[in-house]
Amino acid sequence: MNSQEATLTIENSFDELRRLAEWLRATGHAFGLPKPTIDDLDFCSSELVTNTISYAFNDDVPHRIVVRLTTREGSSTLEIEDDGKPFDPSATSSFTPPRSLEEASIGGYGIYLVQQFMDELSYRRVGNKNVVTMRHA
Amino acid sequence: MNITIEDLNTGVRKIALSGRMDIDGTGVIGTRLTAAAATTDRLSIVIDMAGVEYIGSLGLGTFVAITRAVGRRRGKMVLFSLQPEVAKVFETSKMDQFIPIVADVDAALAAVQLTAG
Repeated sequence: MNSQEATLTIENSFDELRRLAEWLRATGHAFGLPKPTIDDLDFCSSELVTNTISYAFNDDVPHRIVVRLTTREGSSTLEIEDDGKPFDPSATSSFTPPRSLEEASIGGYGIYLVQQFMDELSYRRVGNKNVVTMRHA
Repeated sequence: MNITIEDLNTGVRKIALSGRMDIDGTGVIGTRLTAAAATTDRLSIVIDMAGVEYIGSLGLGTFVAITRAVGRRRGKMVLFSLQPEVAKVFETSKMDQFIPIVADVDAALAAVQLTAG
């Protein structure tokens, strides 16, 4: 069974999003993933890490966010781990498609889109850590 | 992110965006994009998205707000040349039902000129 794994650790700063995207694209390419898969993984990791940086921490101390990409038997798994407040994105989405532009929200699309773009999204709390696991076929 | 604005002699304003429309990118160009599209005498706006590699939730929300503002002024705005993943974000969120998206610049110019004024 062929499997490949790579890990990136970033800090909870928006400046790190660029590094995350570059790492994910380079790693996905090196793992031989098709571009649409890499695009989906890029979208989902950027959205979830943006949420984590925005909402997970109440202090001004640097925190580490660990992102792990694994490929096995044609599917890709992305795991994101942080030590922020408990938050389960798999259980959250207040999004309902609006009926008009006036009714449309200017935010809140991120988690809904992640749920749509990924084949599986799961969450567990391990000690003081959030671990989000996403699988893309 | 980068934004360039070109006023065509047909009265259409053409805006080109490039880069990643994430929280940083949207922060960099959001105000200028809103001003260029929604607070201008020009009522026909076409936006070239070919250089946009990524759009996140915040970028999408920016387009919702701008489209609404353009509509209130009875203007017309059309996006064109979206990369596949960017198009997927608009489609999956159903925002493509409210934000006009066409294939290329010719279709965009035709769409705003037919309906403007």
